Amino acid sequence: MSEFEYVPFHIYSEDDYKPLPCAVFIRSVMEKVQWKRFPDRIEITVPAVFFSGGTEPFTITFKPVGETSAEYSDGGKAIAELEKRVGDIAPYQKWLKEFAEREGRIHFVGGRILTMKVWALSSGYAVESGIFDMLAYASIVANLDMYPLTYEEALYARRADV
Amino acid sequence: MSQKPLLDLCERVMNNFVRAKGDHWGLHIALGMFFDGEGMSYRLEEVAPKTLRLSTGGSFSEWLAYATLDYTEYKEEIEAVAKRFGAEWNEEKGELFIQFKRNELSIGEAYFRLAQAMGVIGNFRYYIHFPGKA
Repeated sequence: MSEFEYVPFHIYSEDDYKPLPCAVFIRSVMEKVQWKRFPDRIEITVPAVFFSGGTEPFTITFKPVGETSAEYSDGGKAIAELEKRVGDIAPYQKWLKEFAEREGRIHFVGGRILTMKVWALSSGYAVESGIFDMLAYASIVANLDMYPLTYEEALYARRADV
Repeated sequence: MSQKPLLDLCERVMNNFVRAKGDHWGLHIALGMFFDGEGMSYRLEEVAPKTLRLSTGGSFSEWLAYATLDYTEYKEEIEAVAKRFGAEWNEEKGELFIQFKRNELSIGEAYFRLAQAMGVIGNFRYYIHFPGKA
């Protein structure tokens, strides 16, 4: 039995006792998570914040490759959101390339679709980790303009703006 | 080669995506998010009637302190990124949090917003290149 079993404990607040069972919390989160199974993949949709600042659905595709490997992809959402934010992503191409090289397991299919390959999916936890990692990577790429660039990159980006 | 076992596995995980346990301090929520192998978690507390506070645990502040050497140097950057996701930064505790009224934001949305903020800020270490800073 997992340490995190679904026991309906309650919250005790100092000011005001209001029970909020685990079950309520779990249900509230799970209401926002949707997934659909296809013969070769599962599409998982979670709420995320991108360009608009509001919550919008973000779909991650889980696709098995062989017996123990799987690929997660974002369908091009992260790059599209970055484009909406900065207009032209050309100044960021070098950074995106470096990002993929540094992370190793990610690459951009066709230069646009953020894809992550996980080689040894032996436990259920790794599937979950992949979803959060994809959410993190997509957020990083979509918010690339928030990341401090190197001095040379910043100069290049500024020049490109002009 | 059958892809069914992995699809079955993924489906099982999705059915049990959220794991939480409670004590008298609030709810502890296990996330499937790791930084250098360290598992991250949330804490959910009720701070006022119908107002909840979802915050990152000690693991995140430890990670950030390790990753940035001194996160107080990056206060402005951290606050700016957190704001984009509707989160806030408590420098004293080294935690990210979202405080929200239940009629303004759902628990599920807050859960994923904080995960996004953690994902971006938690990776500062690898992408930080300030002129004059290591």
